[in-house]
Amino acid sequence: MTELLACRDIGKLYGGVVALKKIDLAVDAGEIVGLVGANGAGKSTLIDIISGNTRQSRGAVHLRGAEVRGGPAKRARAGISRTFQLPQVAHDLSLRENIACGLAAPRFRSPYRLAAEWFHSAVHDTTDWGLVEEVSRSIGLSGLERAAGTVSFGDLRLTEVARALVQQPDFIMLDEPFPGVDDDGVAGVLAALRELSAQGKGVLLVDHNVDIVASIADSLVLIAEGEVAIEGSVEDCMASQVFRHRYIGVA
Amino acid sequence: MAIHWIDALSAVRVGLMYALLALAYFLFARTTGTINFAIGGYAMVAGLLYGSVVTRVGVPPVLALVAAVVVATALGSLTEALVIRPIAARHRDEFVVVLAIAALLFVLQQLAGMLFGRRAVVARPLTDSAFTVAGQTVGVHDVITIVLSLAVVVLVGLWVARGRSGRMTRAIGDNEDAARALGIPVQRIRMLTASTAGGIAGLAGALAAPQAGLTIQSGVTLSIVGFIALVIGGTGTAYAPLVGGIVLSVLEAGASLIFGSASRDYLMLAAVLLVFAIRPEGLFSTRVRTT
Amino acid sequence: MTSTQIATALPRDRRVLGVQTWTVAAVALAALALAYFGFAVTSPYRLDIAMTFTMYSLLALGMYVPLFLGGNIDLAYNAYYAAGAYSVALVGARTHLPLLVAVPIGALIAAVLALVVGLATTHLSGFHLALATMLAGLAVYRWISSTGAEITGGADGIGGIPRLEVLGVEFDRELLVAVGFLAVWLVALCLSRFRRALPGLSVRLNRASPAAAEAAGVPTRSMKLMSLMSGAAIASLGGTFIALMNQFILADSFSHDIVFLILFLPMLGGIASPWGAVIGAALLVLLNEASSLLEGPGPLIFGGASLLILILLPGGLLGIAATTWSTWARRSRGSFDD
Repeated sequence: MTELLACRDIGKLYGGVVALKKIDLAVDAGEIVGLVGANGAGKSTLIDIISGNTRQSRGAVHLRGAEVRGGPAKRARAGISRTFQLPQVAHDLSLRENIACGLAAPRFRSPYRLAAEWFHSAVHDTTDWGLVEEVSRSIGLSGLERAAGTVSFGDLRLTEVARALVQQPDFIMLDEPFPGVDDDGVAGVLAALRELSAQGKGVLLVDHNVDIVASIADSLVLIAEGEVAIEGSVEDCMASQVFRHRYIGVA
Repeated sequence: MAIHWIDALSAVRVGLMYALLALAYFLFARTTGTINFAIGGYAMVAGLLYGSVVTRVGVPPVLALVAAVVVATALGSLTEALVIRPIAARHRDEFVVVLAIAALLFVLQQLAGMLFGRRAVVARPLTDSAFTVAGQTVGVHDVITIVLSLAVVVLVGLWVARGRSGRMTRAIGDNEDAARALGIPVQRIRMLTASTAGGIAGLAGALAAPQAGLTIQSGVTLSIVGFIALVIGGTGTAYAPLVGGIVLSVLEAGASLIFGSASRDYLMLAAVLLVFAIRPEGLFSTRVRTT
Repeated sequence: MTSTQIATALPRDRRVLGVQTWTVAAVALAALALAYFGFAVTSPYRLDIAMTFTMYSLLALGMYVPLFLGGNIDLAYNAYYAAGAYSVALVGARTHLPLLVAVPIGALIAAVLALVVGLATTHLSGFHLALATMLAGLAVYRWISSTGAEITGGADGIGGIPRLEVLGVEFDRELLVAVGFLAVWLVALCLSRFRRALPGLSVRLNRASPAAAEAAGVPTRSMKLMSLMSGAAIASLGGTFIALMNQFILADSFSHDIVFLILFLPMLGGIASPWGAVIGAALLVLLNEASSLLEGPGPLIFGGASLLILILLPGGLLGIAATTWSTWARRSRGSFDD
């Protein structure tokens, strides 16, 4: 399989504190990688670095063999999408409108496109509401007219997942998408991830529920103390005594 | 061009007025986290009140000064209780607070217009007496202004550094929840600093009234110069506003000597952008605010 | 559902006050027509009131996207207002160009000014942004009223601006006000559509969470500059309009006082819709008329009302209307509809 995304020798210091020591990680096209680790192991920091929300102290991120640089918006346009551990939505917008914001990645490709869309939108709404509707339905999120400030935490997570999906990404990172989400929602998200994988996209899934992650992932990566402690196929990892000990022992 | 010491003295007097305004900003911001743009409004109201009651009603100047400070103190505490507290309880958005304070400044301006008229108010000094030093006449009012302003700066500095409630202001500014958990009466300390800030702004406005030729438009101007002094000095210590005020006043006097008085607004803009670009936390700062 | 179906039957969250955008626009057009024929043209004095309303509306609508949707506190709007007015004055009084070219020139100059202000204040927010932009506005005012007097006529301003004439049609004051009303209607309608389409939604998400907007692919920096520039261009129309109407301009009209006045209009009307800015402008001129301008308690009542609304009713008048409406609609529909 071809390598889609790779982290090479990533290190991160916050002030003098080491958040990530040395991370090497690769996700192939069509692969679903589960990233697990205790709280504070650096999972979210790694996602922030890949998405460009945080700058790494060392190392590089590669997408399709080329080094990824620039801010999050540029990376989103290059095909990387993500959700946040703490859902980041506009509370005064409806779920539908929050999700639609993900369309920015495929639409605002250049400053010129942004300017054109800017003025055009005052006359004619070209937002692809059909896609928003379709993606939301596929992960079992309904009631899209509700204001984001009024819905449950689980629905906010699904809203973020839907926003990340309408970005039509090549590589998607979900940062703990399941807490608070009901079984239908979990099943919907898993189905959407399988669909992406079947299309040859890459997925990095972070969640505390190792059973859910193991049920869908092709391989698992356990990070501890800022390093990759164990990586391998789901079967190998789940069978490994060390993996179970380190994961369940510290989590 | 020889710069006479009497001009330097005048620059110091103006600089101290800026410093008092900046100090009022500093105190208000320390516990409420709000840059209170209405500070200049308090100073304007106090200055117009002082000038009006002395000239039109014939109240003794010292009494008028006290009255002006009392009114400004009340304005400061009312701002905290009726404007900032209710809004902060509902919005986390700084934008709404900025709008509300802009509205407050506007209201103070219009209120002053109703009470004191819309034209410049002529204010008499605390005393007309003067003395001569080395051939130059120095007004006793100016000397009182300088001494009083310095005294306030030092007292506030001591209070913040040593006083029990003064040190609490630091704790509230750093972490409100932690301060509350420690049993610090957050609301009461806020009210204390807000009213003190109002009083200090009022003192600055009333003392400056005889020279400044205040109108109701002065509120915005005073707010701006005070804020710039705060920006230059920073919020590191209670003495930073003093440095900011003096630096601003000297810069201003120097620029009008060299480029003419019309350069003032450009200079202010340039100074502010420069400070924001180079040291957003001001010249004197012990901690960088994370925003 | 196809996009055409969605466009014809908007879901409830895509409507204003539960009413379709076009219904609101039609009601607003009717109200403006009523105000024009029933009020504005009935006396020269009332035409002046209509003129002020138009100017206030255009300035407040200019503030709508960058300030009220985006949360960028730009207080240099007096400069953009001046850009429009001085373009008309200079083109009209000092050149032989057709006066109409002053409109795009003014908008362009305002947009460039906003770009400069935006670039100079890139990393600022909140109170610091307010201070820096206010000083930028003051500097422009200083230049207009004194330093740049050779070009701008200083405090005396510029007079002798000819009437606007397009293709042989002379635009007298009545016709200009009609055009102004239409401009207000069109801008408000465009903004209310913009607000609910992708660029407007991106501006609003960016305000709530810049990290999320960036991660969703919104180029937040260019977007902020776009919103400042287009807002400034809209505000310049207010200046263009006033200069065409009065045929002279005075430097004093362009001090920062106007910024404070305009800033409160959308709050007063309600910031949930650009029509709130128009409602706020109408209230202000009516209030000014009720008490005599500037000398009476009008501005005080106005400022006090703005402050009260900010503290007590963050939705403004439209917010009150929306609450009343939804309560009424729920009652008449039965409570299970929601």
